[in-house]
Order: sequence, then C-alpha cells, then structure tokens
Amino acid sequence: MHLYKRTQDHDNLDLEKNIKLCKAGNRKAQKALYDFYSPILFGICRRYLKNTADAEDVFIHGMFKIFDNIHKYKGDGSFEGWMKRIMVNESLMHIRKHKKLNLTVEWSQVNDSQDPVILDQLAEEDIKDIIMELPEGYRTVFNLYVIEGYKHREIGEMLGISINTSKSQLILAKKKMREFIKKKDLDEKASYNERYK
Amino acid sequence: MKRHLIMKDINKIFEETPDNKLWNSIENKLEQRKSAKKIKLYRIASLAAMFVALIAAISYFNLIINDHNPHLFASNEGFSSYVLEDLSNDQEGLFNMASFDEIRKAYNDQFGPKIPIQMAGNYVAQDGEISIDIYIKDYTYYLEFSYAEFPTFVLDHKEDQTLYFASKHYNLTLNLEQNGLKLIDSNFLPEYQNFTFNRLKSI
Repeated sequence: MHLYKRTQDHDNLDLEKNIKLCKAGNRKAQKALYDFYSPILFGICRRYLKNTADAEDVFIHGMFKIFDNIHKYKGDGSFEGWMKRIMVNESLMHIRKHKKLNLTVEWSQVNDSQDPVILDQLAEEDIKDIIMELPEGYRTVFNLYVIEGYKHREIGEMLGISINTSKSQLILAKKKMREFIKKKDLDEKASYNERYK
Repeated sequence: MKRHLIMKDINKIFEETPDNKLWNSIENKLEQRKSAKKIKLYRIASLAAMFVALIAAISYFNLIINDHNPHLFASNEGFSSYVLEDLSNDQEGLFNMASFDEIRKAYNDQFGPKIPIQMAGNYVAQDGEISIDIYIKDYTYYLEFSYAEFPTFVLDHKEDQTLYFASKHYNLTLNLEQNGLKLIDSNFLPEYQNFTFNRLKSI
C-alpha cells in the first residue's frame, strides 16, 4: 500500500486520508506514515540524544505516543509540527528522567563575545559533529533555542531552569562551537602545511 | 567542495532512517495497546452486565422480602371436596334407574333454584284486566301474560324480595308482597307501575 511517496512536495501527499486511517487504527496507514516521517523524527531524537540506544528508545516511545494520540490531532496547524513536538518532548523527558542535564552555570558567570557562530560555512558532517560534541545541557538548550525556535522563558519552563541559566547555556554552547571551529581550522591548516611542505 | 547551509536545514542534516526493528517494536506496542483496549472494553461490559444482574437480583429479592400482602395469596374458602355417589345395580345386574332418580331428586332439592317454589302460580292485576302466569321450567322461572302476543319474560336475577324479569326487548321488575307481586318498574307496561298482581288461590 503506497498512500504517498516521499517527495519534496507535501501537497502531493494524501496526508488527510492517511491520518483518518491511522485514527481508525489501520496498520498499513500507520506504516506508511512511519516510513514517510521516521527519518525526520528519528533525526530529532538523534539530535538530542548522543547515545543511539537512547535515541531509539525515545523514538519508539514517541512514535507509539503519536499513533496512540493521533485522534487528538484536530487538524489545527501542521501535522509534522505536531509530531515533532511530541518527539522533542519525549527526548526532553528522557533527558530529565536520567538527570543528564547539569545546568548550574548562571548568566552572570558567562561573558558573551557576541561573535556569531557561522555554521552555514561548514560542511554537513562538521555541523553534525559540532552539535553532537556539545555537552548534553548545552546541546539541549542549543537545539531548543536555535533549531526549535523556543524562547528562553519557554526553555526554562520545559527544563525546569531559570531564564538566565538557559541563556548562559546557549552562550557556552556557542563558545564551545567557536572553539571547535577554530580547532578544526587549525587542524586543516596544519594538514595543508604538512601536505605542501 | 563544501556545501553551504542555512540554519533551518540542520533538521535535514540529522535526518536518519531508523533500523527496521524499531518498527517491529512499535507495532508490538500498538498490538499490545489494542489488546489492552479490548480487554478494558470487555471488562467494562462484564462489569456493566454484573451491575445489571445485581440490580435485578436485589429488586427481585426486595420484592419477595417486602411483599407480604396477604391479599396476593388467593384462597378458595368455598371449596368442598367431591362426593361420589354409589350407583347400585338392580337384581339383574343392570343400572338401577330408581336409585338414580332418587339421587337426582335429592340434588335438585339441594342445588335447585333458591327462589321460593311457592312463587309459581297465577296472578291477576288489581284492575282485573290482565293476569300473569309464573311457572318453572328447567330450574328457571318464566312469566307469561294472559295475551298470547305478549312476550314471555325470564327471571334474570333476584335481589332480596325483588325479582328482575327480562325478555328480548323489555324488562319487568316485581316485588314479592304478602298477597302477590307488585310491579315496581317496567318499560313494557308503564301504566301498570305500582299495580299489585294478586295471587289466585287454587280452588
């Protein structure tokens, strides 16, 4: 059963029909939905959780929650956005449950250099490496603020931390990324020099 | 060559197809959930059925326990046991008709009409114009006028001293008096209302 094929054009998807079938518990429709969205949703879990087994666990729980609660989706807003929110929340729950966050640095202790982190000049793999190399707390706040687009106030509520802690985590994350980029540039220069000596 | 990206494409960088076994795990969880939902449904249905049965049982026993109305139990106080009469045969071994007649007469006397037998006889109205004849036939009293074209009345019922006669279209109510009968109501002879019909004594 091919309800739709993965394409760039979402208008071509018979998403409405698929959601209706999923609400009725149709297994084939669920599989079709899974096949289409699982790379995006699993990517979210991978972005929050470094450990693959943890990411898989959260992904399974998240997908189950999506299918179990799909009747609650009333068509307001993007369906993909609704699913993504579930995955993000599941990931955060997992992180909080396993107390992986160590968010104690306060705003006052951090100096922001205001230098932008120029990620768009990096290769895909480098961006992935940089983000995954960040400590859990930095990465979580970076993901929520930069990628998900939450405000510091919302992040504070979600993670049970103060707004200043959220801000400081983000600054430290950026700082760490700058260091990473700098180190990478130095490594590349050294490698170049070595090669053309 | 390095490919340049913008921030919103980060999601794409992380896109990764999960292992196939993950779908199996999700499917198992969904199946378990489905079964759990079914069990829950059955449990609710059985609880509802039990509740209904309990209410029915309570209502039934409540009815039995609280219902001590003695009038609900019928009794036949007038019941008497049957008595079988012996019908003896005659000397020739045949059915004894004499014995049977005796028994029938005894029963007629006992269970025949309760209206006094002396009511039968001839009566004449006080104006001497018409007369009536009351006779008994097959345990029923009949009333006939002296005119052949007048209808014959049959005793319908009796209340104390009042006799209610009726024909197909008429009625006639008479009261038993010292010397005869008094017509107290009739749609057949309204002009004879309150007339006394004196009994003629046989010579």
